[in-house]
Amino acid sequence: MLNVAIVGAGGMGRRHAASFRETGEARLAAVIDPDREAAAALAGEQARVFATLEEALGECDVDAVDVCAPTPFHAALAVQALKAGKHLLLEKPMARTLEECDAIIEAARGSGRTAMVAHVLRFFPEFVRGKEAVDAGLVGEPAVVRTSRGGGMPRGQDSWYRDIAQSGGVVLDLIIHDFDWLRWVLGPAERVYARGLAHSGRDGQDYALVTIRFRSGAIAHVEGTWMRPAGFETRYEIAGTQGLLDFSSRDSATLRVLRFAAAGTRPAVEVPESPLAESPYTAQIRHFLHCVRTGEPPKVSLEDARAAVEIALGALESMRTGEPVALRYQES
Amino acid sequence: MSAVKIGMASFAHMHAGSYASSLRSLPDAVIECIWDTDEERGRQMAEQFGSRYVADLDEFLAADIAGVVVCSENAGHRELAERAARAGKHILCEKPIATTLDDARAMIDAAASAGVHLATAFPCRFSPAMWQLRERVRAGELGDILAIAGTNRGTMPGGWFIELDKSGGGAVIDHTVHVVDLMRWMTGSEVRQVYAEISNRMYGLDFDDCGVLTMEFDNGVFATLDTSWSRPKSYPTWGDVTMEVVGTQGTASLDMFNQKIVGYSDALMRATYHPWGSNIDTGLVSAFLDACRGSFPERLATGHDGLKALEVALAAYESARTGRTVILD
Repeated sequence: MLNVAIVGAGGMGRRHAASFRETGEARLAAVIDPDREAAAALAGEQARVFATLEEALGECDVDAVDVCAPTPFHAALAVQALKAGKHLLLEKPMARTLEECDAIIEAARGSGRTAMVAHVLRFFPEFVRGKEAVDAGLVGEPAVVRTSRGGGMPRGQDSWYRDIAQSGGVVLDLIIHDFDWLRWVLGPAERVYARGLAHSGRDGQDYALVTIRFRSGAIAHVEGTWMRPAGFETRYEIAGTQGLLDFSSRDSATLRVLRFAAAGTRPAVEVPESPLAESPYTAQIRHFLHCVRTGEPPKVSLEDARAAVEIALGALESMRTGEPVALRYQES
Repeated sequence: MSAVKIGMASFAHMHAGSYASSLRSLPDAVIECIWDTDEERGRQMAEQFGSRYVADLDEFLAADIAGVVVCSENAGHRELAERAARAGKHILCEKPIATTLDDARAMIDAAASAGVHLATAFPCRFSPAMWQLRERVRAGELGDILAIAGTNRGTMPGGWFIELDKSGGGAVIDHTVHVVDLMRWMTGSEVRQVYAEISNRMYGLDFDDCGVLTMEFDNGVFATLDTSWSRPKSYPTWGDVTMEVVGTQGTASLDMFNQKIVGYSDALMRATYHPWGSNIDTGLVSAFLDACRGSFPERLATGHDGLKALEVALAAYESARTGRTVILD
């Protein structure tokens, strides 16, 4: 049994806690959140509640720290956990700046601990199948790739998502998933161009259209939205020299439940629900635990996670300057 | 209403066949004569559409026709349009209006000085879904429009479309103009900035087959457009025209040719889409008949509209050459 401390008792912290529990291989030892009520609700009777990670590490027997706090806190918490000799699972995006990403990489180097960023798309079967089909040559050489992701804006604590300075908006918080997946499928990216609402000062609304040129010559177009009234949806299409792959979460839903009355409350973070035997979030946690146990490197390296952040920050910079931004740290 | 006599100038572009079918289906139109540089094709079309083939262009333009439908190779549009204008004929010109801005301007000038109408064939304006979308956007149903993500993807057409001296370019010139026209028409705003990633990765030949444009309009709306010839040969249909329109009060998704039934055939060993939507080409040629009668419908695109759409396509090529955002005047 691995003892886990979760930092951040929001939507993703709860999701991860459930997944740790489902694996049967980990025990929730501590929940850290300045919102003690939220922390206590997640901790239940098993785990202890702390306001800071420092207190938790001082008073609790913890093997791994799972950071699900808002993005601006990622780097400090991750470095603190690694320096204390703990394994680290870090929610995406890796951090708010490349300097912070570097600090995490530096802290992980030689620590002998597993450090993994939760790019959960790599555990979503629809995105794994797409990668596998491309690798098997189904579409030939990928040439034009399109992805789309989004729904309504998530409601986090203190509405930190809507503050671009904290969350990086839809580009850094949401379509970073697609950036990582695209790098996984297409290899290193070369430059990025983007337009969006990030710098428009529109409170509570964000939308972005990002074009990425890859070193292979492939072109990718990524749509990210927190302005889709129809709810959360993901799509991708990979057009290549020999064929095409087409995916839509809406078109491949296996269950729709429609009720007359608008009942229930929306979760704080809209998480794509897939009726699978095992949730991709749990598959991800299983992989993390496997890496902790065996010392094998995680499927998503810290360098991968940093490269995805670089694309996102490049896109935000392109929106500011109106010109393409060259990507320099994309070696895969 | 007396029938309007129309001459078809060239069947080089495959849309000519559809326009001719539409003209035949309309009670108030007659395809009086057909001219083509390819005599065999011209005679065959004349037979198919119950018309007569005329080999000589002067003779064709001297015929008793009110309007000419120009469907030659793109680079040939200018000469045909100028001569038709001088002969006093109204013109419906296939898109892109031309391969250079100079050619497009010369065509517009020729029509103006001859006092004839020059229309650009943008049939997507006649899609009932597009019309509704435009009406509802203009009525403010989506609030202020902020962004549009568009696609006009297709299969690689081959033939003269990939001979650059005749086409003026590959996928980008072929597929930019339709949706740019729709965006201009819907927003009432002009494109002021263009950036494009363009490649020939699909076929690896000397024409572009992949293109993703990013545009900004005068009113601040930003938009992207995928113009790629990215549908494989096994794809169930030729391609698409789509727009995701994002406004402050909601979003609208247009999938213009989604009215389809899906067929599965062991003979073809692939699925095929069978469209059942309204024929937009019929709307287009019907509007052109009105123009030939003297009243130019608001829904019909002008030569100027054709020019503005071409300007964006050419700016996209310039952006891909320079790696920079191109500012339009």
